Amino acid sequence: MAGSAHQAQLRQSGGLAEAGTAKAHSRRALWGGTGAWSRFLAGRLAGPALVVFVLIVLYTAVGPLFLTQDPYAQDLRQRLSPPSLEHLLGTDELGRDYLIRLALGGRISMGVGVLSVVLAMVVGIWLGLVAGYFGRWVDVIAMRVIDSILAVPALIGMVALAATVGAGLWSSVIAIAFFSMPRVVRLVRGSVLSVKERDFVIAAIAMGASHPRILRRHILPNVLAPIIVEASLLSATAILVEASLSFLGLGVPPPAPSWGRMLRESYQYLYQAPWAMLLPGGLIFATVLCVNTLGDALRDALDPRLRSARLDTLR
Amino acid sequence: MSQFIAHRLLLMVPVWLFLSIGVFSLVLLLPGDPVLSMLGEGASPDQVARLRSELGLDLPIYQQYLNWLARALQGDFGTSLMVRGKPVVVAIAERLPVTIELALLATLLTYLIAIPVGIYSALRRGSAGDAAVTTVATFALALPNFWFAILLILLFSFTLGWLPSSGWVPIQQDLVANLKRATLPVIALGLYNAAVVLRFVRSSLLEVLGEPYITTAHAKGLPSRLVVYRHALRSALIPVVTVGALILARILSGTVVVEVVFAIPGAGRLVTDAIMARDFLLVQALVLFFGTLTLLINLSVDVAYRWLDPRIKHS
Repeated sequence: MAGSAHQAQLRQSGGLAEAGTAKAHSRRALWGGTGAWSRFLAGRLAGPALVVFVLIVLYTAVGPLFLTQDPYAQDLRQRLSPPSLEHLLGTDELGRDYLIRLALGGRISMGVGVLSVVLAMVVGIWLGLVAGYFGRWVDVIAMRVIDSILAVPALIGMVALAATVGAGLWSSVIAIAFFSMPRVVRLVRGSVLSVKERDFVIAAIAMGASHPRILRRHILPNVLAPIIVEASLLSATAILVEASLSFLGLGVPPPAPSWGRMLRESYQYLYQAPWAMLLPGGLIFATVLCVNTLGDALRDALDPRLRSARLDTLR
Repeated sequence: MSQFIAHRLLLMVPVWLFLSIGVFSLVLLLPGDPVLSMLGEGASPDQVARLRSELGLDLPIYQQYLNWLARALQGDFGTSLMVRGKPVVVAIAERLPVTIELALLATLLTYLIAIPVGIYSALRRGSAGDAAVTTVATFALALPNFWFAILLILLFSFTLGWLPSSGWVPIQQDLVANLKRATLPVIALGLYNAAVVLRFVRSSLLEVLGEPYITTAHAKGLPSRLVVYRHALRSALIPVVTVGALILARILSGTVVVEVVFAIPGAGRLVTDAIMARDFLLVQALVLFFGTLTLLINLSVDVAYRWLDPRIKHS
């Protein structure tokens, strides 16, 4: 299958350096020494993407501290009003200020994205390490379970899971994490399979190191580079998916804003105020574009050999 | 070949069983007691106990699962709240043709764009045309598909008035009206995936063009056109065919949102309808159905891969 070609490629480049202790080459391989920063910025887009991304993050994180409008104050005389001095980006269908709601919405959209990826990573790395390292029946069972999760078209599964648990911030996080985790497991497992045959691991086993120690000190540092890249690309997907869930009425319940929910609300008034859906959608688009670009740059910086056809974007 | 298919089918069994366990467990996550919510507040303990044993909810969990599985295999998913008086399987089957039509047209559009543009981009690597294609593809990958769908409505229905913005006409009723209503959803579903496949075609072809046998073909004086279309494309397109399974799964996921935006009564829309009606038996059936469908699509692509790529037969 397509995924296995990708994994084969990862397997070839799984161990980042042959010599030295695990700790030493984990530091060298990850960030620094060999011009990682210059490789990171080598793609012409990485610099601008970083700038735009920092601006978006500043707007959502710091912006609300300086904005005086109340994000929940309704003003029915000013429904769907275009931009004015009082409301710089206009108002929504209940007359609430768009500028501050977009900033707060960004916190939720990006927050859910980051939290779900962290959760997927924590569970996925652990499962992948165990499956790849112990092999045999543990591996067989873990992989069949992963296959069964991958069988469900991701959004359908997330919608079902989030709705069952009950709409809300954490149910979105859990649903997105659950269906992102298989990618992490496969990636980690693939890398572990190649690293565990390396001489320094065999040496550690011969010296009587315990399984947890081998996993933590010798194997984990060597599979970290592809995982970090994957995390950045997964967060881009997670932001998109959170928007879809909110658009479908799941996700954070009103009156709290999120970019996806603001799109859902403005979509109801598409013909009265077509401009209202441009901003939340545009912000999702810009954020995902930046994160994707930064993820690609990160891959080039951390390990140029990981360049692939971006098969990972398929899930 | 038939042995291979039998082997793959056998491998599918454990995956499907894990899938069914996951789908069954979904209702266990539901907050609250289903019996109490069915009977209401004023039910006597006697009534509650009677309904509980009638529904088999007093049995151990594994027994409940086996009963559910036995009924599910016969197509009996219980009485749905939303489509009362109709077996759930029939309700899904009624909605299916619409989604299948959209998914097939979207897959067709994906490949019609991705293959020629991907070939162009690979052959003119580094040119302005290639840069333009790659940039557009990168942008398309960051586009939330439902937002893109709304933008299409704004442009082609609201502003230009060329195409209807919502609704559906069955294909057997009126072909032209059907295609008019399918156009925008298919573009919304197909364009994003075209970007994914295009990148894949490009890198796959570039990889093959670097192979020694291509250099040999050039060296022995074959015209470039022949080298590219006879020698390189054949092997470059094999992996492209195999990502078809993932693309179809993605498109099925996409129909959930796109059918909501365009108010199309398909199976994807049924997922959100069932969730809004809190009809979890229907949700279960839908997730199991889409999961099984994806497994079967994967199987057929694996078979196609084996048939297309002679190298696999000998390994």
